[in-house]
Amino acid sequence: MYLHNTQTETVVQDHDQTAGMLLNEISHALLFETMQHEIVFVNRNFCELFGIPVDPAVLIGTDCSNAAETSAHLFRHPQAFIDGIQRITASRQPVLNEELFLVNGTSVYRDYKPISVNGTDAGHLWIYKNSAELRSILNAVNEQKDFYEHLLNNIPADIAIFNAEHRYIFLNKIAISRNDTRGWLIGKDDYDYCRHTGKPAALADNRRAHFEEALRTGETVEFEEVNHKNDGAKVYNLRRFYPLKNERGRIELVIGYGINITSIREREAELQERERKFRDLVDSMDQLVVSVNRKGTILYANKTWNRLTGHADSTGKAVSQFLNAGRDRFMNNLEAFAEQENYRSDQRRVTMSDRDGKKHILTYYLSRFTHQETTEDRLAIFFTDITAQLQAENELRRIARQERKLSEMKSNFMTMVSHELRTPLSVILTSAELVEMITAAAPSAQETMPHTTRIISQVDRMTQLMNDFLFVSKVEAGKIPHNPVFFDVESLIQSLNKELYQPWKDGRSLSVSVKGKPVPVFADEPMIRLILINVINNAFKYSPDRPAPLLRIRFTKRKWQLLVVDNGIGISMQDQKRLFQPFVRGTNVGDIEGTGLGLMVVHLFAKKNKGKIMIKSQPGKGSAVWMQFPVQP
Amino acid sequence: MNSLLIIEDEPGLRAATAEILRRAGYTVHTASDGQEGLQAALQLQPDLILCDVMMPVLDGFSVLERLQKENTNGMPVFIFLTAKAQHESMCYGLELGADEYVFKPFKSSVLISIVEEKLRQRKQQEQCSRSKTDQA
Repeated sequence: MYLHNTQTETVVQDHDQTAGMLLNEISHALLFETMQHEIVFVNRNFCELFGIPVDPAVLIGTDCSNAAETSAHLFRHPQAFIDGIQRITASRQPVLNEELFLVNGTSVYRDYKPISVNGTDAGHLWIYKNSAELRSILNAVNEQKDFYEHLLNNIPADIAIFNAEHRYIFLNKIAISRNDTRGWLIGKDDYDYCRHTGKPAALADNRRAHFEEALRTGETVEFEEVNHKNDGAKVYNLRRFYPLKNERGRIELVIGYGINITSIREREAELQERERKFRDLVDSMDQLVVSVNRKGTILYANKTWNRLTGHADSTGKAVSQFLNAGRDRFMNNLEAFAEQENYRSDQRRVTMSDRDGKKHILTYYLSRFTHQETTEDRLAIFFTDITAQLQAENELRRIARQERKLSEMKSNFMTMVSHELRTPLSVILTSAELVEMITAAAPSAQETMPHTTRIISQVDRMTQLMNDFLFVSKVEAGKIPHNPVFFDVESLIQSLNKELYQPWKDGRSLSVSVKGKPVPVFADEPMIRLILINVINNAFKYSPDRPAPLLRIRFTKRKWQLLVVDNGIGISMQDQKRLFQPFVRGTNVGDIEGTGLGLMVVHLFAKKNKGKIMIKSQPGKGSAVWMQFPVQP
Repeated sequence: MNSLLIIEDEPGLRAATAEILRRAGYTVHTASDGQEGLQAALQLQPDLILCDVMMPVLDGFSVLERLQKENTNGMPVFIFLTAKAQHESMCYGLELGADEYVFKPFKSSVLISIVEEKLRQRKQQEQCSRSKTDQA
């Protein structure tokens, strides 16, 4: 090849020279020999390593059968070196990084590669590498390996790398914390793992199914795995199989990684529990609660709604389809409210038929809220079924009407009775007076007079009783008109005092005092007059032979108060409780005349004029009647 | 002497009232129902009539109305003496033109003083109007 002096040969020679130059620059010592040990190529480093003091180009084509023997002295174990070469060349098995120790204390690494051309053994390639250099490379590789292992071990996820047969190639510490188990598992699969740890084979089945899916689709497969700890607590793991393809698209590895999502699941469960409690609360409300979108489509309805409408699930339906009277106005209100800003609507009414077609009257109001996930505006409608309440109110009104009717009947009856009694009473009275007149001059007058006088006074008493009774029945029947106006109550008291109590029948006089600035008050004057007369008369009547009663009237900005105090016989605690009932009189009244109707009328009239009444009394010491009325309407 | 007419359907009361007024010095006529009372009033022309309200045949209010229409010789003093003790009835009677309205049962002394007072008032009015006529 080198003898042909043609242009082409020159180019080839140039190329050989270039290749030789490049190989000389490689830091390793190279020797390529034919099967017959003829040197095809050797570089400068090889000559230097083995102490051959010639240019490597000179050695090409020479025989190197004895080279091993010639160079063996350089190695710490010369015979082993010679045997090694013979063994390697005989077996033609590749060797990588075989360390050989030199007598100078250093070492080299040896690679051997059998070279074949077109299926025929062509020769042996020997490469001797500088150990220090290689060690630093190997160290760098190991460092990198350590770094990635460290990284993989410390990623907060369990990581396992599988080969395509689903056998473990790598596991990090989070996947398996025990070093021995982790080491043991390499090359094994999940069935081995389940057997080894006593876990159910179903776990391996499940993982295998997802693994095969990842292989089949070439896509990442995600699944959730629930495991139980020794204490029975559930551990939730979200796992993924991520298939890794080589440049030809074949799946060589599958990375499995899992994240512990127990805390997320627990929080979800907690949220669900909270939502359940909230729903329970809303379901237990008496109100019918629905939430709707702006168009009035039901998104949620509580159980109270479902019970009344008879629909187990109303979601997706228009709320208006459940309503009867007032439906159009309801929809107008809903649409108008949806456009507004205010938080809550006014309360209105609408009617609805229940599952049995029974009509219900409901009040409702709307309020708004924002759905957390969608941030959509939602409306909540709170319906209150007031049917029963209205029925009760109607019933009360009916009873009140009936009571009024009864009172009226009683009043009419009393009027009739009093008519019928008046004529015979007149006959008795007039006749008794006539007897008195006729017998006045007779000698028997002294005997008859007390009797006729008694007849006359009893007719008087009966007439008074009848008048009071008639009056009370009129009051009860609401036949006494209530016409409040502003009037001067202080003047009324002063004129009553002058007219009736300066002095009273028995010679005692009422003492009146005024506190505060008298102002006109708003009340029914005839009623106040009657209250005053009744209370003051009582004070005189029930305090015979004792110091005279006193009256105090007091004006404040909003109220006026009346206090009548006597030093009379008083009222027992027992009697005080029943004083405002008809025909009730103190048990200690003795011969003092009365009908037991006065305080009842006082109480009724005070109530009509928004007044309060309070009586304090001590038997034998006296009574105090305190009343308070508003100044303004 | 003044003459009085008592129109009252209750015999006991009619008799007792008549007796009391007679003893007080009046000439007393009686009638037992409204119709009879109206006839007697027109015929006897009493100075004062005491009339019940609730009576058979013709009630007291009608007696007063008929008398006002049919009596051409001027009205006597007209007093209702009645068991209709309601405020409204009293107002109605006075509005019709009665001089007084007395509730039953009444005290004889009270009735006599009312009769005296009303007759005295009537006499004064008559004297007044007569002196006015004389002056004219």
